[in-house]
Amino acid sequence: MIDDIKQKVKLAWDRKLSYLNLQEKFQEELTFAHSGGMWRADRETIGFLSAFENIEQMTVEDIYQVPRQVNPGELLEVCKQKYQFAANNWASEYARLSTVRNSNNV
Amino acid sequence: MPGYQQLETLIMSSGVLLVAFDSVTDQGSTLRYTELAKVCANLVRKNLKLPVGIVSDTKVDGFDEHVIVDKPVADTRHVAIGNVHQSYNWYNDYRRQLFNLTPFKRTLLLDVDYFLQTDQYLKCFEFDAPFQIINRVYDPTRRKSFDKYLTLPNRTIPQCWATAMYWNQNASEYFEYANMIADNYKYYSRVFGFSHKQYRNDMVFSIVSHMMSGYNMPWAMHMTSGDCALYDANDHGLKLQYSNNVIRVNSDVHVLNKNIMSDDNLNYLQNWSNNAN
Repeated sequence: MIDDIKQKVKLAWDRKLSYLNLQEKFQEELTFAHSGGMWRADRETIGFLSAFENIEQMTVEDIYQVPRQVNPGELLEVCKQKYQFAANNWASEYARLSTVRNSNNV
Repeated sequence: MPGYQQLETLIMSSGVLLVAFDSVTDQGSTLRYTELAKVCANLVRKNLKLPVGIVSDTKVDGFDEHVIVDKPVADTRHVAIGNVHQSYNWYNDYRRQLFNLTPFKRTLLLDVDYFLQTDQYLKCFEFDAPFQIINRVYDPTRRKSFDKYLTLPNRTIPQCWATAMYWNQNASEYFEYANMIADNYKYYSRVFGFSHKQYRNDMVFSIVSHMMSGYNMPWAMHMTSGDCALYDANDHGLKLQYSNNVIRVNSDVHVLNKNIMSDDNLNYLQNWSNNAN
């Protein structure tokens, strides 16, 4: 009994570690399949595609470095949706974690 | 996200396959992999909304598809359950035959101790490259427990993880090659510096992925080492305890701790995964 209580008191929770894991999950949520390729909806891709938004077809390399024919406007829209969805999830989970005060509430 | 019609087509011909053979240890404990498979299946249905098939030597209730096979040749494996070290027959050598046995046109194969908590693996079906496998591992405790497995032991080629593999009907050559490696396992073990004493799917499919240029899934598999024990589980994910620390993991996580197969933990996980649906 005493050992159980001691064990519970001793348990630690690392907030920073949880934030890092959350960030890792956010990065993974950014990947998606489209036009036969695999893409990452990161800021660089969104910025790049924005420069070609009005072109109908172009060749872009996906995350496997394979050149794919895409409609940049369409791909940009999906990228923006994915980014916003993942970032919103990240923010709400981050806010939840920031209220945790001890290991019991993790 | 795929459209409704696209999603319907995916579901009709796609599914998740689990391989589970129960085993009894030298101390008389039963390792109920088939029960753990039910937990895994519940989580797959909740998160991927795909049918789940099981490959086993007996019929197991609660699955959409059944592939009944003879138990394969076993290797002896050691495991710590509680504080007791035990050895058991590990029926590990079946994956390379699954190309011909799968009931699905597009198959995602998962280890039964891989707990899905997201829909991440749907991306494999949407991308639909003939053969995809995991080649990166992330330790949520950040102790870098698996960094030594970045490459095969002689540091020549990246190590992949057969914990999660995807294939479609164009992947026959990948499996033919896997069978050839398995048939000449001792030779390949000398080339790549791993032990030939225990058959490992990870080794076989690492070589296949390297030689045949398969696609690696573009995320890391979250995996916790054997000292991370189940503490509890709720809507926010699995809580794991390790050396006086706790961590809540709500991503897809491969749990190596075999205590999850104790009767108490299996009941607990069954309830959790049932409620998840």
